[in-house]
Amino acid sequence: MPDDELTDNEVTEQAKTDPVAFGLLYGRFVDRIYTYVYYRVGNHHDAEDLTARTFQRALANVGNFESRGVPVSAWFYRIAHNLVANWHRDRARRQTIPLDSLVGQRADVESPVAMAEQAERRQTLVKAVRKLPEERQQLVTLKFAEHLSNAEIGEIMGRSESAIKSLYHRTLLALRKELSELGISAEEGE
Amino acid sequence: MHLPSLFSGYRTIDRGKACLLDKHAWLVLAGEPGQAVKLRRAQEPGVASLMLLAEQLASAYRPVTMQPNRRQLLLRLLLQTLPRPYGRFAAAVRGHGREAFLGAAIVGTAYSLGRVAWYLHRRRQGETPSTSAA
Repeated sequence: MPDDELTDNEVTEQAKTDPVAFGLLYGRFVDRIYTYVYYRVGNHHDAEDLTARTFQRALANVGNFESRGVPVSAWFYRIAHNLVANWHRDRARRQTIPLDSLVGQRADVESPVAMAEQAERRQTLVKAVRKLPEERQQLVTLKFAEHLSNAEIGEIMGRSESAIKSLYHRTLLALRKELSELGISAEEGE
Repeated sequence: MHLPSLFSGYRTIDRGKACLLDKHAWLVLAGEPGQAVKLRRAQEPGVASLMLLAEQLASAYRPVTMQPNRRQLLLRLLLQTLPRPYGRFAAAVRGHGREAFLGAAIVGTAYSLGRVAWYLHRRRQGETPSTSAA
């Protein structure tokens, strides 16, 4: 069977004895984990380092992996989440963390001025999200950067789908409040 | 307000809003911006502003990728620093080690209990226990 047709769980089983199969898992998940970590830490340098550590830890523990109905992706996200949480704890005393300029500017913006305004707006939004409690940041990242369903997010965060819906509502309310404290309304930039 | 909501602090009306926001987010992320905007414009201002915020989040949070050369380098480094022997034997030990340990513990415990029972039985019969049983 070609490698592409194997499920994530099948590849993970192979990866217990075969480093090449782990390479396949790496190829499937590295960008998703990198995106997740990047939006949680706010810069490429640390995102790269933490992504490397996520896969290092996964490689060290792949032999003990048991699916129990949970997707492999959830296992990777949990490892990444724990490392990001430790990273934030280590830097708890730091007042500000630089946020790299967001990549992938949209092509449909008419002028450089409008483009700059949109980029600034996006940065403000991401910075405001990063002031929210950790689980809310995690939810926003998994939903909007990773495009995961409520069920998938629930599996990663250990919550039910309805709890994720409620958390999403509360997160938007908190974010709107956070932005209004910065003097920014949701209508701006529409 | 329903009774359970008094305890949860999350009212039925909020659940309705949460469902609407969830539906809207689904439309945004499924690449249906027209439908999402239509749904937003049909809402009262409070919910509409949250929906607008969600649309802005979807625009701000886009996938980022590592540079291809960095990806390859990282994979090479990972595989060079394998944490332990990577082979069928090691995997078999890993896979069955826990079961083997549990099995040995159960057998050992059963053996010890058997010896204690045998010792008590002999003592009740007034016989001197053997040194090995003691």
